[in-house]
Amino acid sequence: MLTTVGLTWPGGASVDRDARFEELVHAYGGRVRALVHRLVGQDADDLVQDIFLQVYRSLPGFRGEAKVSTWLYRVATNRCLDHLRRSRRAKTRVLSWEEYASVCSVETAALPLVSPEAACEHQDLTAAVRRCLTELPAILRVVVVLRDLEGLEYREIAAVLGVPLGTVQSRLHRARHLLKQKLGPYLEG
Amino acid sequence: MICPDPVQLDAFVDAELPAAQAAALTRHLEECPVCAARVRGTRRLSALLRREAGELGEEFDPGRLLAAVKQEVERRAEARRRWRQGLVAAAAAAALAAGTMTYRASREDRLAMSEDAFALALLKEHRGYVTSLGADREFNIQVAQLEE
Repeated sequence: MLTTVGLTWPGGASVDRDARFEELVHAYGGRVRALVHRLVGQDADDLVQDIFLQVYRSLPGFRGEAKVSTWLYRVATNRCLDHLRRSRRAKTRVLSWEEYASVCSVETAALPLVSPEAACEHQDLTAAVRRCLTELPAILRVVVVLRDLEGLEYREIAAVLGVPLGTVQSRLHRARHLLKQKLGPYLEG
Repeated sequence: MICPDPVQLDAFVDAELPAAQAAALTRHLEECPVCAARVRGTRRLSALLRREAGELGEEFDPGRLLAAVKQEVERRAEARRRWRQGLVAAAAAAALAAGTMTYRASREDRLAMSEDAFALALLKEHRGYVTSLGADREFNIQVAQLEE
């Protein structure tokens, strides 16, 4: 579950934008950076800077309808998805919900398996796991990253993505289903 | 108990089920090897993801991010300031050009007039100046002659 790390605003009208922003960067900067790296892979630092620039410009308009952390994750996640949609690589990975549903209606349409031998060839299980994550459709990757790596609760993920709770659950299940198929050999024991 | 929906098994692993439902599912798992294996698989997957993809190499440096954002904010503010200055200059140039065109159009209109009509227009245009010289009477005579 997300913690607010002592952030007390909005409500403190005396706190100016720069002070709030600095507080926010110290409280959440590392987690947002981690999220961005997990969603878009390498070379994410420019994107992190863009996200915080957008946050800085949006701060005066933030009225506290959502928790600071939820708002921040929403800005970061939307920006990452936008980045992935725009990138050439993502064009083959980001599917619309309808496209994805049609693909996943065929259970055998999962990603190819990664065998232990293949991982040994790469000498790096970490790289193999990360590759499996990045090869997931973005809308599924986001959910599994927010749940399993960032530790958000379902209702928090729903708030970040602006989707119903049931959608979060079904996407998470789909993501895990695909990852289990791909990483199956590492899950036995 | 009938085997629950796999989505419910995920919710159980993630501690998202209400207590009563979770207790019922725990009892079911003791009797159902298929569901127990699914739950085990999900737990192992989550653990594998956290272990292998959870850590990032480089430490986060808040000072560097703050400096970078501040620099970008200032750069954009400067760009906006220059853009506004350019806009003002462009507006002034446009106003000047429009004024010149109006003047030229006016001059062309005058050239198209007859000589008398042009003289009459010129006189009327400078009535204030003529009056300030105290030549009202002469002015009126001239205008009357030209208007005939």
